[in-house]
Amino acid sequence: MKKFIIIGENIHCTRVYKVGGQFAQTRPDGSGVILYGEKGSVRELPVPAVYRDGADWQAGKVKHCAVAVWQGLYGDTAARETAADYLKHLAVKQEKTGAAFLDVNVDEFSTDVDERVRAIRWVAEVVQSASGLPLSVDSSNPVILRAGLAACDRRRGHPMVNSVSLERLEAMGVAAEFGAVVVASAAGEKDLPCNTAQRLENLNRLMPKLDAAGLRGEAIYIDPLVFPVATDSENGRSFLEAVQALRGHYGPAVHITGGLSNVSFGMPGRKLINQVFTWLALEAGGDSGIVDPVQINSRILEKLDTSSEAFKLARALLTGEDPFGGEYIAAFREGKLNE
Amino acid sequence: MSLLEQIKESLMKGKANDVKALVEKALAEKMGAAEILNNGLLAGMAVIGERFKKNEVYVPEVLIAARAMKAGMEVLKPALQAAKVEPRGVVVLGTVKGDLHDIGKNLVGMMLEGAGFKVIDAGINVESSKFIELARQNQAQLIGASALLTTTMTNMKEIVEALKNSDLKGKVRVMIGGAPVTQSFCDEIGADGYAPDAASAADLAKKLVA
Repeated sequence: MKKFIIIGENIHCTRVYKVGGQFAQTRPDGSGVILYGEKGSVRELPVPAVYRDGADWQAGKVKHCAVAVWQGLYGDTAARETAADYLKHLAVKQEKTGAAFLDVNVDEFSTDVDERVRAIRWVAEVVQSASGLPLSVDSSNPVILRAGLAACDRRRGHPMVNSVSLERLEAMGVAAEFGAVVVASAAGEKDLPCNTAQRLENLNRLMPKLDAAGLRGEAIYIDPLVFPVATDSENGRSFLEAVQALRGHYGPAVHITGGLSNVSFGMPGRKLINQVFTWLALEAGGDSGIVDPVQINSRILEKLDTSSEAFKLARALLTGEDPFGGEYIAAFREGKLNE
Repeated sequence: MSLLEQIKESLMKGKANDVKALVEKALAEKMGAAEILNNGLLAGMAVIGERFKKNEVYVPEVLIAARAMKAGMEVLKPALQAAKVEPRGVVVLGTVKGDLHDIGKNLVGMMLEGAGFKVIDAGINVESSKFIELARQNQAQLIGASALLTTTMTNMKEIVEALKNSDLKGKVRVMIGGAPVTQSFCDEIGADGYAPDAASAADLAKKLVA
């Protein structure tokens, strides 16, 4: 199998654990903890009162990376150290499983831009102290992109901007300024593409602009945009067709990536769908993915049994041959998807 | 199984053609339009909504149930109008200015229709003034605003403010949702309600118009 470039997506302030599950629990005294580490040496990140008393926790959810960032900025000395240890743990785990970039996103940590600037600086410093990988700074706000890139250690290869698009051209200037590579998304000025042709049309207009900014070839990670098959059975296929067309049109140098796990939103058995979709994206000519490297990496993809019933069901779902996922969901309910 | 039960069951399975035929049959048997709506179509969607909340059914199943409901509604509409059955309320629904995401908004729209609301879909990238203009035109009781980005969710505040300064002040309420949105953000900007997911959005809307 060819090289699969993973942009590890796990350090993201939207990431949620279920309270009462394996990774987040309420202690008998009412305090909350995030659990991490290896079996036998499980460590605990305390959940601050603002999160413990918040609506998410009441609803049984907790944004664990956001908790770490809060402790990193506002916790006492011990909590700050544990929070840093937690992010380092997430970073190292992704590096070990094969990530090439570590994507960091603090957009949902706060609505206050200054607070997010402090958050991205702290995250960048902590993550880089534990891992030698370059960062991918992920934000819809150019101020955050700039703050994140300024905090990147330039000796470890180009950092990444996630993302630039026709609706976010400003990010292109930021990337050029800091010598970053870019995720170039297929979003249009006024809408998101809903079929293969619109994806190609938007990207074909974006690419010359990137070129003019000095971004070309290997500096570009094209993201044709992944949408869930749950809401439209054609969504998987039109992404894959776009990947194939883009590879043909732009040749071997450019990278083709995508937020591949978006495809399984709203479906059961997401891990299988994500793995098979990644396999299909690589087959179509992609060479990268913004994914969780613990769940999806070269080793796992090589071991996928492409002749299994589960693989075939997922492939049919992802190529539009199982409208509304009827077959896939039925198989899930019958327990047929677990090898 | 009674005819209404059959409508409900067929809807839950997403069988649009069956639902349509069964509603036609119910009308031919002189069953009241409100009864068909409430105890057939909406009753089926209510079960789907509950199961969706508990992760017992998945998005595509909600989608085909909603589609089946739509098929039934088309047949039922003239009878509803003749009997002067009003929707539970009118909601203007859209994704805020600068934001192009529509998946969450569309799911909310489906659940609202399933709860008996008339939904005016304002689309994506919607200016605050457009939300208000559509609410006025359609005599809506609710505005539902969605945002998926921290950079765009601040535009929700604009809607709340613009409403406060308009003739619709006190007549139209604002509910908000989307991945980065929280209850505390809702409180901060003075919106009337926040829902964390599509099924809760329908519950919230019912509460806000009650």
